[in-house]
Amino acid sequence: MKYEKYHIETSSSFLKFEFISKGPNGSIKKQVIFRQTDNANVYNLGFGDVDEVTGEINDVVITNNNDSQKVLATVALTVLRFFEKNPDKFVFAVGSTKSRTRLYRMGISNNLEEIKENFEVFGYNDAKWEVFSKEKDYEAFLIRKIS
Amino acid sequence: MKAAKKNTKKSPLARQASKIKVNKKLDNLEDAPFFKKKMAKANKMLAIAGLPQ
Repeated sequence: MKYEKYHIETSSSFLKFEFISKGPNGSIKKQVIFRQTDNANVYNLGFGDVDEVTGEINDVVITNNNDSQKVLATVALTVLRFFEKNPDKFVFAVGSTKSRTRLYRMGISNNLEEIKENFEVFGYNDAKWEVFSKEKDYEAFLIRKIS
Repeated sequence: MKAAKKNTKKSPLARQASKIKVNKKLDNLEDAPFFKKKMAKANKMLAIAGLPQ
């Protein structure tokens, strides 16, 4: 994934990451959070814009900062960092809308060969997980590090 | 020496990831409630399908 990425900072737990998206709509603070699901082996990836007034994260806002590729590459970097600290866990990812889930799928598809060198990717379809295939649409994704 | 050797095995991207700096201010952030729906979705899918083998 040889795209430009933003400078990232993380919490000590390596479960919260922050970076600033810069573009025509200004500087927008973004957060990536990994939170444990009911299954202790799976962490849910949450990602969105930080509202500077409330401090809350909005994951449905459309930023239009013309940097989606750079933002996606930056989020991918946080996933790598997460796996460095938690190599035996899964990361669950789903978009806040269907189109965002498709964006995730495109991001995975476009970099699948590189991703597969170190990770296994699964897609959720028809109530089951299957090995990710470029040709298919999925409702969600699971990623794990190859041990 | 061992550490240096280990580092050379990492991909450029993994090396970049290792350089992400800790900012302790982020430790004090409240957990955001922003992805309750996503969490519910994840828990539902995992309950139905379990984990891939």
